Amino acid sequence: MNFRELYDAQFSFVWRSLRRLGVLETDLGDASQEVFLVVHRKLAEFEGRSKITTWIFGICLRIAADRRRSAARDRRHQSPEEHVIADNSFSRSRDAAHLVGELLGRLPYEQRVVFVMFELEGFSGDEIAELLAVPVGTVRSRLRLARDSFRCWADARQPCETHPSLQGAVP
Amino acid sequence: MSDPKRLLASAEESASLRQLLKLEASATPPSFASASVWKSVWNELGSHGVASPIASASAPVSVITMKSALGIVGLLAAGSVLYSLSDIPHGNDVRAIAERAGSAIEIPPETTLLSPDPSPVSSAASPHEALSIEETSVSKPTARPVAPVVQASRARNNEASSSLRDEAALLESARYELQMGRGERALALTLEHKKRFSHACLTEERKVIEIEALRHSGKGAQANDQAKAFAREYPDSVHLERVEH
Repeated sequence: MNFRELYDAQFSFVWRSLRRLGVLETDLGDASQEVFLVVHRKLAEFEGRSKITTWIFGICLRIAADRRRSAARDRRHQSPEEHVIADNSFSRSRDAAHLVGELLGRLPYEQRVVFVMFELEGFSGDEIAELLAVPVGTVRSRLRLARDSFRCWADARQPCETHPSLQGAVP
Repeated sequence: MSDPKRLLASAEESASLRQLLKLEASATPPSFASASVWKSVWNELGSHGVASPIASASAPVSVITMKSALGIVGLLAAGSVLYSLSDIPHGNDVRAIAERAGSAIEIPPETTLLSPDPSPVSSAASPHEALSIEETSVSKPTARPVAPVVQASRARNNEASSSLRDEAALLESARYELQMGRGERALALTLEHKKRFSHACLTEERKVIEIEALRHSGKGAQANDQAKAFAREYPDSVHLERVEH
């Protein structure tokens, strides 16, 4: 398999992983490019002990964290009015993907990562624990909290403002 | 201890929650995104003096393939990069997507992707450097010994975890074929999905593609029958409007 074939096989995975990890829609192209440049640069170091998807997801995590930090810096420069509009976007979104994305954005980031990996990308608890270097019990605990939030929201079909997991969460 | 059942596969969860997660799990990037990003990757690698974007000298890249890819990019790169559930992935090489769906995405250690003499592991890829959430880095699993029972459990978990990705990839391919107007091929892929995944998570999504593929293949009556059955089975589905037209 050459790099192009690897790219074709993994592009969708990288794209949706970055989106689910909070990279803005407008940044997804650049962030995906960045991921594949890192993949290309580090591929020789990949020893094949884990799945290639686990390894690539780790790269996505790092790139997404960088992008989130940049976005947070940008938000600090927004006027208060602009900020309110951004926070109210949930109520205007009706598309399922956007709704899921909005809720993911309201989860504490540690829970969000575990939820995305387990529920949406199908990684096992062991794989997640290995990538994040935390005990499997911690993975399951974070997953349980994230699930509670999702259940609350999905049943209400609106943000659960009073749910503890959603209070004070940074979008 | 084994992993809990995934929400979208659990009958104990509310229908609305499962449906949302199913939609999200089967979502794909817009059709032009792959070509657009590839063009940027290729340009970036070229501008840094990399002869070819390939990881190993033992698997030489086809220059013709790259040139062809760039030609396609020229046709598809227009437009903004937005995400849509109704979009399909760009498939310069749809065979690669179909093969991925059929053969999983793991790459065995002995493949030519790996350098025979790997360079020293960088700090970002250290096996001992874990991923804290905000300061993430690429960690590689260590080769610590595991008991056979644990290995068997992990094998089962890994098998289950790849299943959802395989399902999504296969339906992604079916969607692409549908978009390309190849209804029969899309039908064949939905049939493959039905055969391969007896406990599928994305059955509802497969049925939607199947109905649309039947219509594209001139089997309107059969499509209508299936649409009626779909409406009975999934009365609250967000796809209802789509399948009934």
